Amino acid sequence: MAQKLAWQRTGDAASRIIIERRAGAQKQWTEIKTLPASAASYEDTEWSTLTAAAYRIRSANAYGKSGYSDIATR
Amino acid sequence: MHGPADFQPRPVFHTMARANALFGDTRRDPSIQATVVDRAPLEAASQAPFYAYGFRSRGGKAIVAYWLAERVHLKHPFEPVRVDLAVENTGIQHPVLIDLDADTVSPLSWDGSSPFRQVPVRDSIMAIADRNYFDWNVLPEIPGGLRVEVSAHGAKACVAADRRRGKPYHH
Repeated sequence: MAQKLAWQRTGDAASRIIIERRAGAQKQWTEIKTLPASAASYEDTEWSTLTAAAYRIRSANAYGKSGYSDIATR
Repeated sequence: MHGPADFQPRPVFHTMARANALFGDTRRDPSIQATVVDRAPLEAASQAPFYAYGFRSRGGKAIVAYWLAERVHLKHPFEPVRVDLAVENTGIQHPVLIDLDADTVSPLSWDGSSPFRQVPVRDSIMAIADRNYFDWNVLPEIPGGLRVEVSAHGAKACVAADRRRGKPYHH
């Protein structure tokens, strides 16, 4: 089983999407994947669906990064 | 007693912010000349002085700012006057007209040699630049609507961020 993330792309300036995950009650976020900007979903197969996790994403291009999205948890 | 509008920025604040964005990193270039070809329409409408200055961005791109220093009251807005404006030494090939007050950018038709025909003069700053003047780097936007879905035992749970409360909601 995997946890599937989905989001809506905004604007056309991004060149990639960066996905970060935070485990359970931890405070530390870990960057787990970078995808092309055309991506709108991702399956996190490396994380047990039985363990609480939080996700956030941001977009980036050659000039910098966007702010973070809202946090999605399960 | 404070009213709801007391803490709203005045409209001129936005105009000043746009002026700062357009001209903040520029330098005056006296070699850029901008003159009204026929001042009669201007002088018929107002005795206020007409100002025009040329600037160059860090990359050397020209931008011309002009306005009529007319003092008006909100109840009696100044009607724009159309004039022919001759500019020199700008290198502009594809001119656009920038209205800092209205926050609009529109292409100017131009044959490449004669003055700009019938451009509006207002009591607020107008500017003319080449369309490639706007080459600023654009940061990407924040992706929206992030959600996590888990399929387990045939049941599908969807958990997403609730912007209002900062807590997840289930459906």
